[in-house]
Amino acid sequence: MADIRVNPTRMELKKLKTKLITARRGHKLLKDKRDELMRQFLEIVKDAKVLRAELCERFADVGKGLAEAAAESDERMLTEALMLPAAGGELTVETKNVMSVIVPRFDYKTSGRATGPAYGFAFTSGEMDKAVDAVSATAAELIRLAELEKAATLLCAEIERTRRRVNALEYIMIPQYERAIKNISMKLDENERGNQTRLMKVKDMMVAAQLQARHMDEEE
Amino acid sequence: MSENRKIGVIGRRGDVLTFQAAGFATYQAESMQEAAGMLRKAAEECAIIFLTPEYAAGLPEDIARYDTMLTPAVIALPEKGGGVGMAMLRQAAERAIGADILFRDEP
Repeated sequence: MADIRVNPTRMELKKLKTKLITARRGHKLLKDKRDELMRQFLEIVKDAKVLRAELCERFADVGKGLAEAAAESDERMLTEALMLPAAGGELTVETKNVMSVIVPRFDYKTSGRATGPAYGFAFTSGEMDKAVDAVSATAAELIRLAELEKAATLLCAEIERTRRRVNALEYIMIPQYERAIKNISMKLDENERGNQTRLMKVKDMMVAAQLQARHMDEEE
Repeated sequence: MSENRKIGVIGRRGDVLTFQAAGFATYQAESMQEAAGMLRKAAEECAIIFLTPEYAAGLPEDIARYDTMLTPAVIALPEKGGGVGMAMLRQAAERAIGADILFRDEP
């Protein structure tokens, strides 16, 4: 792994230390964010799972009902009958903020439902009525499922991104800074020791020179 | 983004007729390619797009294109036994958590 190359000066050391503190703080914050996102995500996925399982059960009947209807009535009649929507609906899209991830909120209002199907009963079978009714009845739930699953996919992407950031900080950035700081302080300490010994040596030389001078004086 | 949007259903003719009667916008597609084209078209008009399980399973890349967008929400229609939609949900959970902890108890 590539280390950061910097001049071993006190200035750089101070800069790196500040960076390390920031990185640590960011790491902690992102980790908290990831945990909370995960919690929200799990809640949504659990709801979606239950709802989907329930709708799966109901839809099995819809498919069967329509197949039976198609078998019983004339193809052209069926198309014609189903051409006109019985129930119009209005879908409004709003947004919701989950941990700064913007997820859509679908609001569905049905209108004109009370009158029943838009086709006459004469040429169509009861099976078809049931199928159409079942779809109309599950519309709200289908839309809720779409909302949940969309939120799940959006949150999933955000969790992945956050986790990558947490890992990058934890396993790359922070160790890099720590190593660079260690290197610089070792280098600075080494310089310090070098200086110390040099000073001691100079002092010894000076003391020796002074002693010699004093001896010379005494001899004279 | 406009306030009022449609709900689209993409599938074979026989499959989408019921949805038409229920007031959804329908896009008929008889082949996988046609479905991909319809998905593109529907994405511009709808806020929610339901795909029949057959097409949802066959067009993972086309669906993934809309994953990071706010709308449309591209969802597989429910089918008996969980099917594609459940698998997609399971995949998302696995990717987010890193391990399959929600669906583990099921086959």
